[in-house]
Amino acid sequence: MRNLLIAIFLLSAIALTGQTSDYSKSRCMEYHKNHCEKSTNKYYKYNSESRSGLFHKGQKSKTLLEAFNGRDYRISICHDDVFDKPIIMRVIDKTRDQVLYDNSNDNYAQDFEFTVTTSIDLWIEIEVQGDSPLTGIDSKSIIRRDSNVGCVGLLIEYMVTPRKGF
Amino acid sequence: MLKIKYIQKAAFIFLIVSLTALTLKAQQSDSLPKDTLVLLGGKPVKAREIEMTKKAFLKTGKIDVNQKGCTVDQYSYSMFALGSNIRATVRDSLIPEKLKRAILNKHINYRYINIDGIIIRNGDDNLFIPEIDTIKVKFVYQ
Repeated sequence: MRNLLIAIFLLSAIALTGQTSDYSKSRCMEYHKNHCEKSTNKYYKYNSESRSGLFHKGQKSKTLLEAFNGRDYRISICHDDVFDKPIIMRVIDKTRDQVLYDNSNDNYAQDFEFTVTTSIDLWIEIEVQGDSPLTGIDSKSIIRRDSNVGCVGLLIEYMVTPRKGF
Repeated sequence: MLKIKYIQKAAFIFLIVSLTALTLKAQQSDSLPKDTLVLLGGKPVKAREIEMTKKAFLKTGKIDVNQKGCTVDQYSYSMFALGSNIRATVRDSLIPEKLKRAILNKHINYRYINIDGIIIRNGDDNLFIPEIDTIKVKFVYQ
């Protein structure tokens, strides 16, 4: 009986450790570098504004991108399989607070390429669709253990727009 | 008595053969050959995502099909750039002037075009949806 109790305790501890490791933020570190599909265009370079993070359903988060004139940018997203609905990506003009691109109008495309003709500050907003698992309000909010959380990666690449003519 | 049996047998075989022939004919006219592909810039599209230059895309001025007697009856397209997008349905195989101008626009550099809802018309005026009816063409620089 005593051995059985010890065995149950050990198994519970292992299961708990396994579960908590799923919530670990470090699991998402460099996620974009390892999971997001890079452009096949060899001229695209990695942009250091690329990010990865731990998300839960219903969560929205944004990061700033200073986009420079005369460059092409490619933004791609990748995510864990726990999110059953496609991730929403929006590109927003920071100054005018105007949505310039929303992938929900573009068949939830996982990558977006664009050319910048005037330097601009852009918010790249990521939204994970679904009902939020947060219970409680404000700072006392907690995530239910049975909820799905996973990593989302945002890979940003850039290249100098090739000039046409002389 | 024996003759009637033979006649019955012959009628039965005739019926089976006729039904099989009719089914085969119906199958032939009610579907496209399996190797039917849409041609963009004159090249067959075998994947849902392809890369080509804007010049190559506009080369033939139309969207073709690799089967004789088949033409593209209609298609839709959409293009997205930062702060602008266009979307339309074309009831023809030709690439309209509006789309050509948008692709070659020097101020708005569209980096890709989504083509979807492709419908093919065969020689018997039947309409079909090809196996690859949604294509994303990424424009590469020359």
